[in-house]
Amino acid sequence: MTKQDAGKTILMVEPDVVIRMVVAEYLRECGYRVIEAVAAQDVWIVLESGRRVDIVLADVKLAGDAGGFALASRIRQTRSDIDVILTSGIAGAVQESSDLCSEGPIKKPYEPKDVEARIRVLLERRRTSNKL
Amino acid sequence: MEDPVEAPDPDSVDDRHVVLIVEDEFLLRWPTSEFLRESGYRVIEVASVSEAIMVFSSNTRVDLVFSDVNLEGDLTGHALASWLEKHHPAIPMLLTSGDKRASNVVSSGAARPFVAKPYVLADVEQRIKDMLTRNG
Repeated sequence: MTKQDAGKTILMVEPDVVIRMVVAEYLRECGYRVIEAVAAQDVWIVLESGRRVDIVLADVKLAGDAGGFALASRIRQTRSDIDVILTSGIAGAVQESSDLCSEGPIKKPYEPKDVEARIRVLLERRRTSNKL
Repeated sequence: MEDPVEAPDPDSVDDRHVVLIVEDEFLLRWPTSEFLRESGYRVIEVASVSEAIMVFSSNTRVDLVFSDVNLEGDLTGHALASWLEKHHPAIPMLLTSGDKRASNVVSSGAARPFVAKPYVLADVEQRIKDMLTRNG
């Protein structure tokens, strides 16, 4: 994390408690604020609350009507100020998510530092594009 | 791009108390967890009893469990209380519910401390602090 990223908010949507617990804590220790969600509908509760969110980190396989792909698609359509990172343990997800994320999903199992590196890239890209 | 700051040191000692919150209502779990984190606790969030047991199975340190009684699924907060009594009897547990009958069951059964919903976050934090102090 860069110093100017401190306090940026990551909304993590992950049904696997062990992954959620470990990655969320790692990101907090890096200095990010992390909101933990279990299901796609939790994301909309947060976004509709007016709480600022910089990045949504979502598993492609989520319970409920909207899986991770549908969630990413809807966020992309309605909230251009928020970047989405998808994570996946499913073969073939790379192809499916190519339209939603420019760099494809992060494949599980992943290291928390890999997620943090992707977050850093997206925040930097957002900063750069805002300056243009 | 600016140089990254250092990644967290995996060997650093974290002396914060760890609270495991078991609550299936996201609109309650989210603010309660944030309040407890801002109060200085490390908080692990789960939505069900089975997830809570998975946390214990992963050998993650837990100092106190704060659990709703009426949870989605077959297992209630009372079931988790019984499981803790058997597997981790030294870990204190604070139960909560919006159902007053749940309170009676607890007081006559597992004798776990109880806070009624809706609760004031500062009151919950004070209860947790008192329980952890008593627990040493």
